[in-house]
Amino acid sequence: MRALGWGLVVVLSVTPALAHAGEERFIGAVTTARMAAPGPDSHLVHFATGGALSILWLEDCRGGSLCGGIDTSALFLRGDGDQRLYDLSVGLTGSLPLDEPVAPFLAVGLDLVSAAIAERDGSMSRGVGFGVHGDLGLHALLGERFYARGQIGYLGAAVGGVKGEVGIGYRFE
Amino acid sequence: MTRTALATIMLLAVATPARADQTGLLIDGTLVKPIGGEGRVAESSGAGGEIVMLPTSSWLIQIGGYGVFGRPATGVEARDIFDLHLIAGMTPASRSATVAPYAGVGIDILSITTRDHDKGKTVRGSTLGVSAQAGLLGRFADRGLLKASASYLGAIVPGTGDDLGGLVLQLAVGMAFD
Repeated sequence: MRALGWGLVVVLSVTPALAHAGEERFIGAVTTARMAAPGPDSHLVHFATGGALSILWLEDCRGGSLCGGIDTSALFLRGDGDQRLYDLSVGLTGSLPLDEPVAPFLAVGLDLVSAAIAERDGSMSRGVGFGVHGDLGLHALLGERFYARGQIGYLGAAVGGVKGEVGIGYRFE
Repeated sequence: MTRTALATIMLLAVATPARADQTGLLIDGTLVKPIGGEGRVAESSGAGGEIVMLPTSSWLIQIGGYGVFGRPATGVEARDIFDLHLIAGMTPASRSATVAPYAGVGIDILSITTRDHDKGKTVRGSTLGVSAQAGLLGRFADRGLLKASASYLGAIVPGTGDDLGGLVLQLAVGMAFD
């Protein structure tokens, strides 16, 4: 709960500042997410499934430029048994312009995580921690307002693993 | 032979006329070879991404990250490293030289998981690290970028207190932008 509270503070402090910027795109997105982490034999196995709510501010650049942006995301994952991972992230995004049919993007950032993880001896580890993430993906505007995104990346907070997300969104004025 | 190759690279870097590209987006393959814990810690491999900015003719800024997973093996620890870094470097070549050697230093934010298979023990945590990097940034076709780099990453592994002391080798490919 404390992590979610801090997360809300971060999102609320970042959002109004972004809304005052000039030429930009301001996109809200909902995604489904799956995460895999190293299992007992060190191979990646399914860890948890869930969803995320993201707010992306993206500079409105055109042509062959690289657009800069800031992405904040709240991720909610449920794993087997009592395993949970709640993550609030803030990151920098570099993307091809969204006036392309499909634009690749790269994002890296910081995470605040509250997690409960089953250990190999059967015990549960619970706690709040900081971490990092990186994502590589494709996104596109569908018409004037609607938006779609797919991405894969790593999440190195609490349990370190690989995460995939697919979702849709809406571009605000 | 090595000197000839280096001289050729340097001449190419200096002779190529400047272009206007100032930013690059790269994805990379990453290998971390432990130096401090050699023989006790397995190599880790994975992938990452990088935004490279060339704000002036001699400065180079990199913001990126990578995730690498330790290879499971008997008798050694597997170390998963997740990284976010900011590196500031300098290059003697022009901003858009065909091949530009560079060197830089940076700060790393790290999340590390250490898995000891023999003891069935896993420890995790986040920490800060320092890295020194040297590499070559090359250009091909109209907008293509290639980057090869070697870094020394220094940090203390959370949970175990070991010296991370790792050599980070990266090979990246990407695109340049105006």
